[in-house]
Amino acid sequence: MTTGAVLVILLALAFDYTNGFHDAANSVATVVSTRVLSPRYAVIWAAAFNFIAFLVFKTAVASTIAKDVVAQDVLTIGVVFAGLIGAIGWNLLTFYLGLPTSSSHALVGGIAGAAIVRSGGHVLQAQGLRRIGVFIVLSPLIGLMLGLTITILIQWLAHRVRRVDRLNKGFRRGQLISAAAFSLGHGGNDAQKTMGIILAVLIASGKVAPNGDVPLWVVLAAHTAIGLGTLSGGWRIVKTMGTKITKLQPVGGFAAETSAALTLFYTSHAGIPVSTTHTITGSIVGVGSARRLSAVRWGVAGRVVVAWVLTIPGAASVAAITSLVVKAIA
Amino acid sequence: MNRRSAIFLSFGLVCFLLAVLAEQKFKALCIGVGAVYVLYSVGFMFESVSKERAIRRREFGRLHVDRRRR
Repeated sequence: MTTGAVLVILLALAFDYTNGFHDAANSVATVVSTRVLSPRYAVIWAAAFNFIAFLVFKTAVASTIAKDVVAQDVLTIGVVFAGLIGAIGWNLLTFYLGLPTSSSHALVGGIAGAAIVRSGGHVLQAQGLRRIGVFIVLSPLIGLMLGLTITILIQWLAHRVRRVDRLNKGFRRGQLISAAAFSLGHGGNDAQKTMGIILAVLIASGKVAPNGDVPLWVVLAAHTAIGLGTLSGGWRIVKTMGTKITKLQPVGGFAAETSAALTLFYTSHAGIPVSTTHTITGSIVGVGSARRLSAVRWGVAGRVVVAWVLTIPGAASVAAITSLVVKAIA
Repeated sequence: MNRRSAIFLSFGLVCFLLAVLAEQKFKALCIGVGAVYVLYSVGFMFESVSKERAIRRREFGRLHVDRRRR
C-alpha cells in the first residue's frame, strides 16, 4: 500500500475519532441530566456499546458510502483525501458558527464535490444520492413520530400508576438500556461511514476487489476509533448537553433514546447513512410535542433544517477547492 | 385546526412528497409515516375541538347561572 493510501486511512480514522468525540453527548446526555450515571461512567457506557456494534450490524452503510455516492472508478486516493478534508473543514467551520450540521452529510457532500471537480457531474450516482437525500429529511421525521408514539403509549399504560417515584425509578433503569441501544445504533451507522471511506481507498489501491466486502481489521479499527473518541473527550460535551436538556424526565429520555435507536437500527440495516444528531433531535421534539407545542424548542428544529440545506453544498465546495489544490500540486 | 395539528399535517405532506422521490422499496415506509402524521393531525384537531366545546359549555354554564342570579 502506498504512503498516500496509509495517510488517507489514518485521516479517515481521525474523522471517526472526532465523530465519537462530538456525538457522545447525543447518546448519554439524558442519562447524565437525570443523574442515572455520572458523566465519566456515561461515556464509558456509550463507548463500550459504540465498539460492540460491529457484532450486531453488517456493513451495508459502508458499501453505500464506497459504491453508491459516486462511480467507483473515480474514487481515487486523491478524491477521497479531498472529500475528507472537505468534510472535516466544513465540520470545523460549522462548529465555529454553532450550526448543528451532520458529519455524515458533510462526508457525502465532500466526496461528491471532490469527484465532480475531478471528473464532472456525470460521475454522481443518482439512485444512491436520492436515497441519502430522502433519508436526510425522513430519519428525523421517523424519530419524531416514534418519540411521540412511544410517549403516548407510556402515558396510556402508566396513567393509573399512583406511585410515581417507583415508576420514575423504573424508567431511570430503562434509560440505561435505551442509551445503550442508541450508542449501539450510533456506532453501527457512524463507524460504517469511515469503513466506507477506507473500503474505497482499499479498492482504489487494488487491495480489495471492486465487489469485495469490508475486511475485519477495517471494521475493528473504525469501531475502536469511534469508541476511543467517545471515551476520551466526550464527557466534557456531555456535561454541557446534560444540563441543557434538563426538561426531559427519565420517561422522556427513555422514549427519545428508544425511538432514535429504532430509527438507527432500521437505517443501518437498510444501508442508509443518516445523521445520528438529527435523528435524536427529531425524537426529542416528538417527546416534547406529546406534552404541548410550546414545550418544543422549535428554534433547534429550525437550525436542523438550515443545516440540511447548507451541509452537502458547503462540504462539496470545501472539497472542490481542496481537490483543485491537490490537482495543482500533483 | 390548531397549530400542532397544522404542523403535523405539513409533516405528513412532506412524507408523501418524499414517497414520490424515494426508491420503490422505501415508498411504503414514507407513505406509512405520512399516514401516521395525518392521523396525529386529525387527532390533535379533535382534541382541540373537544377542549373548545368543554370551554364553551363551562362558559355557557356560567352565563346560565349568572342569568338565574339576575
